[in-house]
Amino acid sequence: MSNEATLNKRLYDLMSRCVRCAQCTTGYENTEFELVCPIYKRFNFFTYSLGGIAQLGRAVREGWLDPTESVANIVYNCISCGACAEMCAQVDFRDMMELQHELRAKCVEVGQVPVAHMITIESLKKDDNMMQKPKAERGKWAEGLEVKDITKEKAEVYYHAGCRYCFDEELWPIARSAVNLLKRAGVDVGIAGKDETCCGGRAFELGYQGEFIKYAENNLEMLRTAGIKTLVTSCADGYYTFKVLYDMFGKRGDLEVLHITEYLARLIKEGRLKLIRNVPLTVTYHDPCHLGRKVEPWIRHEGKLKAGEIYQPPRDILNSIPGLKFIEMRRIKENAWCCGAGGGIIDAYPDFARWTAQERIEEAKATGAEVMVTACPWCRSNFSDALQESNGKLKIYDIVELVEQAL
Amino acid sequence: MLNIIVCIKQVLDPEAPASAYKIDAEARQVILKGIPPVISPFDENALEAALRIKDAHESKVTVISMGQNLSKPVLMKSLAVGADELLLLEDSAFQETDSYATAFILATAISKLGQYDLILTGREAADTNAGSVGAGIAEILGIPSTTIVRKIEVNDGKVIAERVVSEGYEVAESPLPSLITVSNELGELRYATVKQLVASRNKPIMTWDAQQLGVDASQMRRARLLRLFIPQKESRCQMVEGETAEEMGANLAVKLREAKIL
Amino acid sequence: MSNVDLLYKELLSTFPQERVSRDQAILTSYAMDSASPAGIATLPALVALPQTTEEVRSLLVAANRFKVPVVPMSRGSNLAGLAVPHKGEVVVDLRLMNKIIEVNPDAAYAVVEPGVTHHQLSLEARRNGFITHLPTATGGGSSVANYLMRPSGNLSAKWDPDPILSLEVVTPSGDIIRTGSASFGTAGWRARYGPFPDLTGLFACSYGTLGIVTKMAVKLHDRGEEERLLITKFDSFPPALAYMKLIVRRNLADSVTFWTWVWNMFHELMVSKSQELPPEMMKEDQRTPPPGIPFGIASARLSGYKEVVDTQEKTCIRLARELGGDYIPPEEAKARHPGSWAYLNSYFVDGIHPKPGEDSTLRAGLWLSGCLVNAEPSKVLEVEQEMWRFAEKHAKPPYMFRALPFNHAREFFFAFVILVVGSVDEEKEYITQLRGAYKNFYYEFLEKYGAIMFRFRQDPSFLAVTGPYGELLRKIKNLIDPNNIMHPGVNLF
Repeated sequence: MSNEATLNKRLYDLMSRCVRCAQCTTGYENTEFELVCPIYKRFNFFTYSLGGIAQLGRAVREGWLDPTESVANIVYNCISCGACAEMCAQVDFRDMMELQHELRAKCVEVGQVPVAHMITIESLKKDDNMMQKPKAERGKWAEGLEVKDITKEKAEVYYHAGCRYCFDEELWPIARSAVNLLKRAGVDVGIAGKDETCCGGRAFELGYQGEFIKYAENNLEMLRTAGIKTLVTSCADGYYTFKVLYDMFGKRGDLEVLHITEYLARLIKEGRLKLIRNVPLTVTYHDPCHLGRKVEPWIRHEGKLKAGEIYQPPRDILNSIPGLKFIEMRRIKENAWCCGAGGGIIDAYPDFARWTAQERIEEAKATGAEVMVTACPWCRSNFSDALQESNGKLKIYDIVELVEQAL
Repeated sequence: MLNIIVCIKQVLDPEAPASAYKIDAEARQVILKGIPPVISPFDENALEAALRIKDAHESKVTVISMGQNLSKPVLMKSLAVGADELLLLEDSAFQETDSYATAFILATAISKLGQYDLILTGREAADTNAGSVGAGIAEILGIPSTTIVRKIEVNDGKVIAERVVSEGYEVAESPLPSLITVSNELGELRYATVKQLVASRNKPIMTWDAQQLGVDASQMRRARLLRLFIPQKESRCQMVEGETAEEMGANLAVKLREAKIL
Repeated sequence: MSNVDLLYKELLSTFPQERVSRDQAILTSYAMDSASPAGIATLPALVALPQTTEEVRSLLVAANRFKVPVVPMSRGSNLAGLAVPHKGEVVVDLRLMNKIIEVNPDAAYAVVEPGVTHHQLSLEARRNGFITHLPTATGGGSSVANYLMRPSGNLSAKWDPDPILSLEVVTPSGDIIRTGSASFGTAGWRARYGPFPDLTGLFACSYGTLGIVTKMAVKLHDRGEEERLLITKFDSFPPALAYMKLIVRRNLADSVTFWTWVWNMFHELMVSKSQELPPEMMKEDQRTPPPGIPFGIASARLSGYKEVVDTQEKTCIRLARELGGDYIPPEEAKARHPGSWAYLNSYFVDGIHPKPGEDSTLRAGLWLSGCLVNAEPSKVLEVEQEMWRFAEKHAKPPYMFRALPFNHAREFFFAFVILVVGSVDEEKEYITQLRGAYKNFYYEFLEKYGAIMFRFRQDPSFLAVTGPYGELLRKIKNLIDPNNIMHPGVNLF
């Protein structure tokens, strides 16, 4: 497997132009909460930044650095949150993501992957989920929930719960709420229950592009057989995968992909969901990377649609909740500080994942808010874990939980 | 103590989806992006067989792997599940080998290692599916071999193996030293925990190249790869005409007769 | 054990593991900058990240003891190989020393550490009602490193061209030297000159060969009640230079810079955010601008009391017209050249260094600085003609000219830059050929026009041209750094 094949010419040219200005690490001027790159802040060496990783890629491409364990360590420590690409003048967002994808695919090809990921992927192959749990239990979250099964009946909208929601018992109520909210608003929704499989997004992010293609093809087949035209999910990573990755590989077809916040914001606007009860909380909102930055700049190769980041819909929802006081953090929207759960970090580098989450928790606390709201199960559980460890006083809610409280 | 040798091959993940395969016709190479190397599945069964014997008898399990760009993290899984040492035969010359050359190189390495009681390999590699290396090694070493085995028992200097055949199985007994190629019916390879994977770093890994082994791989080849291609599968659908089901049936019968199928 | 092993072992007793490394993967990003030719990068022996002056001191003392060479790197955005190892030196990464230690509004100065960026400092200055000297440099670069290299100081038409006041330097022997008023302890950082010889000047343009600068005090300038950007246009360089000479000699503006039409096209890219260069920039005849676009514009920053600024503006416009040029009023500039207008305003009026994210020139290709020389005004005119001849002979468009006044009416600088568009791989040969053509440049310019290079080009024989001056510098170097551990790869000595 030659270096040229993996790290293409265009990327190599861009990498060569890195001037090491380190703008990739910094969102604002030098005040508190100004760094936006978690690995740079944590590990100090310039190598732990977009510029640094670009130099690594360049060295591998030029043939004088082998993809060794230390190289893989640096590459895989990056959470792939994308904050760097927002800041860098040299590379477009897509280029930065492509750089990470290429390097990780290369690490996979030479078998130089953190051990934790090898185990996760092996489990994925066996049980079709990223949580290392038995496939047969995938439908348990929906037990007792009166909702259509798309493998047996026709439905207009497919709700994809995602691996995290399916197997994390603590999060089941949120997924159930989401489905109930949709039904309450009169949406003809169905789920796949135990027949749901992973979207494949995380496998792709870990460099296992072949695995991803399998899941993409499988999911598309299932949805095509069921005649589904619209997919809604509560998982930000899943949203990104279906909307952007599937499209990138030409596997999305006509499928309309929506995140639950988009859908709920729409329903609230149309008056199909009425939020009437007072929710007297002071909250702040954390923008999940996979809902915002990572979706935002994707433009289909034919040059048409912008995929559309989801910064406003969650804010619209929060602003519609009576009695809610909403304060923004400093690093928001495209400058948001990552929660630390993406890119496989919670499996391979759990300490770093929690450190990153803790940074964000401090930022949330500094606004004076008592609650941090988010719209992604990975964000939510990473924050919860970090809070548990540090005995923090901040509460974490998924936005759906607040909507429920306001009905 | 039994000296068991297991030969494993590193292959591209055979579960990679078909649509991910691309062929570089000029280089006669397969190109796959983001597909990891893995231990060939039947070789994992062979390793499991060795470990089961080790569970029952005092044994030393040596794993050998031959190739190029061998991935230590992937092959060290064998150490993590319980093998005692790993020998890597790595040389650019080992890339372009055929079954005969592979068998010869492995046999040479095995002889060099010294005394052995049992050699286990997978029944065939998941990429080439040739299935000849195992028996080839035995032939070169001059020891008996039993292929496509689903169960192994060792006692008193003998090995009793159950061979899979189409109608069931047959039992073969042979004296040690002996070689056995293992099939998946034997059972899946046991899991390694993260702890075991990390601890495997402390087990010995040796690397020999062609010179150290004393083989000239270029002289060993007896087969030459002529062409590598993905066959074009075409399907054409002919609709059989007819007003009624009976008519369509009759027309179908005629077509099948014309195609000389009936 | 090698000397590096010994040094590493010693460093581990003072530095935590997270701030010193020998890991090849980590060292890779310290091995090259964007000027490094493909595949030819030298890994440093190790990299250390000090956070305090004391840590810098212990590091240098240890390196000196084991005779291991050192390359100081403030932020590493240098484009000419001055912050990368050439012979496997130890890289000292000063990014973590990024505090603005003090801003003194009364005495009008700021004290910064090497990791502080231009962007950072310019924002802090603004917050306190000041403007920095505004060197033409990327906002992500280190203020300390850039000021020490005598940058194209933009506000030098009015203010003292060298805004550095005092320094704190750590030498290889472990001495922590403070220059200027800071050498007196309680006198603060406010003054460059005291009653003794000025050693701040010694460390400027020493490119890290005499020690590591850990603090720099720099002058901040008054913003003035009114701040304005004045744009005038000229059809050729001689009238533009005459205009600049008048402004500088007669104190009519804070700054005046002349940008040829190619430069201005670059600025337009920031508004369009296009990654493609307009075809005009690539055309053969770069002397003739496209129709409707002036050959070049002079941008001047005016600041001060409103009455004074109004008069200065009127006068500048009159002078420009007398010389055959003309005024471009703000509405016209904004409408016809929105990118240039926005860029120049943000820089010269607001006083905010562009963040690299806003500097589109980075996107377009690889900078290959042509040269920057200074000479007498009449000689500068001849230099300009020479540059055209050189460019038309050796370079593929685009290339850009720029003229700056510098030492307050004493010298004028002329800068000439070639931008290599296209891939580093494909243009390898072209880049090598260009670099080869530069080699004798400076000697020719010196002989023909009395022009001197602005910044050192890693050619030790150029120092030899200065005779006894170079000899004295060499003696000083031997005194301060007898083991020659400080940045030996730069070839200054």
